[in-house]
Amino acid sequence: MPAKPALQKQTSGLRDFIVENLRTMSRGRAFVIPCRGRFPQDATEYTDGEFDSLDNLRVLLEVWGSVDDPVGGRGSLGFVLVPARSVAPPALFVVRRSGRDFLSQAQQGAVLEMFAPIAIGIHDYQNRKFEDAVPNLCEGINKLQDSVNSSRLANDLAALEEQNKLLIAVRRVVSDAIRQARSDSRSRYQLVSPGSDGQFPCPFAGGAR
Amino acid sequence: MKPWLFNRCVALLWTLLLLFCELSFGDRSHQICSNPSVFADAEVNLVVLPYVSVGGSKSSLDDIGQRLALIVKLDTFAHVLEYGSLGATQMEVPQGADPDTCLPQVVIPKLLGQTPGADVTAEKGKGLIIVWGVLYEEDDDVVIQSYARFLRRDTSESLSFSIDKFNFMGQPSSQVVAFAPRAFKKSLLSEIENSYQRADFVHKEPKDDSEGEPLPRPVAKCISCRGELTPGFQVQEYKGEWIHVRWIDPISRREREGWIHAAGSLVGKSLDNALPELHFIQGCVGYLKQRIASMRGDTLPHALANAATHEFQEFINLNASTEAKETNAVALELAAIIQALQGNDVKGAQQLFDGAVSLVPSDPNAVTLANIYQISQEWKTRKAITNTESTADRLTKVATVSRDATMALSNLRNFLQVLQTLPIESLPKGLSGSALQRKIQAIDRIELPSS
Repeated sequence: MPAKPALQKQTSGLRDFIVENLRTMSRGRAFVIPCRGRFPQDATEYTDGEFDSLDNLRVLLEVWGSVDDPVGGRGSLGFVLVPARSVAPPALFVVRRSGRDFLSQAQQGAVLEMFAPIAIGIHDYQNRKFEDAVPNLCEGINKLQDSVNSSRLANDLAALEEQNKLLIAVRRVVSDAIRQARSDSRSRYQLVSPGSDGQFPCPFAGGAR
Repeated sequence: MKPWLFNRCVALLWTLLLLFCELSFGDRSHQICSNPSVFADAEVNLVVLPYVSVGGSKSSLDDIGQRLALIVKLDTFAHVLEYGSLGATQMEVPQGADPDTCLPQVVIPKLLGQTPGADVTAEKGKGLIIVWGVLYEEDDDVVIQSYARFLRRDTSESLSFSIDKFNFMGQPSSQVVAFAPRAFKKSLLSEIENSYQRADFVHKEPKDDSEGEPLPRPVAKCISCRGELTPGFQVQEYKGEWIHVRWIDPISRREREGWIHAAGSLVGKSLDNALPELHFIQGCVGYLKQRIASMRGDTLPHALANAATHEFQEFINLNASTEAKETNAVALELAAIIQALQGNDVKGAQQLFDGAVSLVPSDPNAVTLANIYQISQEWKTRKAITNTESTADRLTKVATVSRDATMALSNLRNFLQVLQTLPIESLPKGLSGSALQRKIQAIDRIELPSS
């Protein structure tokens, strides 16, 4: 049964709002392009081979919109964090559209830009650019923490669980990035000390007043 | 339920691939966006790009998006006339053209002379505000989201505060801001259409029922700019909601003049209230004028500085319920910088800097500005610094997470050196004598990777 054109338009519009946000707020650290003609058939399409293929194309993050229920009018947005496959598998995040209208969905969608600094940070970490990785990872962690703490995911427990898992995984990456950076005696991370658990949190975890 | 239809995707790509992608922008040779222009003489230029309609198989430009851009430009311009030396330009592309030609990342490098294609580029040190956005239509609703970037060409937005011979540098959290999505009823758009009809018309007298003619294109304006009558307008004066302009007729080459109805162009409803970002943009004009004046060793007149600060506060008041914390924080930082450079209201400036930190407590730039302003003012008034330990801790954290590590490490080192000048009994144990020296030596051993 084909989706209602209005629903398809709405999902596309929401995706385009999020994409413009990603384009603008990535501030030259990465670039956003439409993958014209690419229509992922199913989330299961994102196999290890597909991730390798995207990685070879230097893709950090892939975003798509889907119409899940053409009758009920439900849809969702998917985010594939390509570099995160090895640290937080399956690195596939689906956020169900929620909210009474397009505006509330667009307002919620703006926070999903948090995936960009995480993808960029993990990419730097995997390329052993630890000093570059930490600022991006910490920006992503702070935004992800805001998202998890907010009420917007209250009705989407699957997304909440996925984001919590990602949060834990990225915190581990940050700690390891700082630890590895500190193996160089000239690193600026010599200025920080581990917490009582031996881990290195983001310097501003919890904020600074 | 298994998803049965996936829309086309988008990808965030690493740097090199985009170089390949940029080749696909297509023919721009007959589009105005491909030849952007500003007023070289103006201290600050406002450039508004058309709002792009989304939700179709491909983004497109339509009348509403272009007209909305015109209204944004006219309304902003009409509210900032008293600053003087301003230019305002609305970019357009022909209907049906590829909207990618009007992307900010294409237009801005041209206006800054980084890539060829601009008729007139912004001059070094002069201010530029670029506004763009996306637009979605559904039933009776229209949802828009605006973005803005502000800068001074080839000039850093960092600013310094000093303690004796030690300099402390800070900068706004961002020079690109995303405004919260806004919804309009189409009836409001109709009012915009009507106001467009009025704003797109030059009257013989400042009355809606006086005779007149449509504006010549491209639509651009400049105030207090010398010898730049074409292709824009020169603003002679303003009277209430009316702007008196003159221009050179592109056909007869004769000078013409008339009145444009600009401010308050929406009947019964202020466009500023419907679009709070207009307050931000108006405040931003004041911020850039203040920074330009400071470069000359001057300050913006106090009333104008306060007006700009008020615009930022008005923006925050209207924007408080949204999740755009970062944008609100930038508004507070810019207002704080205006007040700090004015130098009349130290407490007020500090409250604004602290307000930004309370919104984005993890942002290294916000934390830096609040802390270096506080210590510099304390030193200025009392030759003392309170909260030495917590300030050192914050500046250390900034030094480890800032993207501008050189600036952050310099601030930390300078702060520790200032502490060395204080009586040892006034310092906590962790910052006394040899401990301070060890911290400074640790900073001196740091070598930042060249990336």
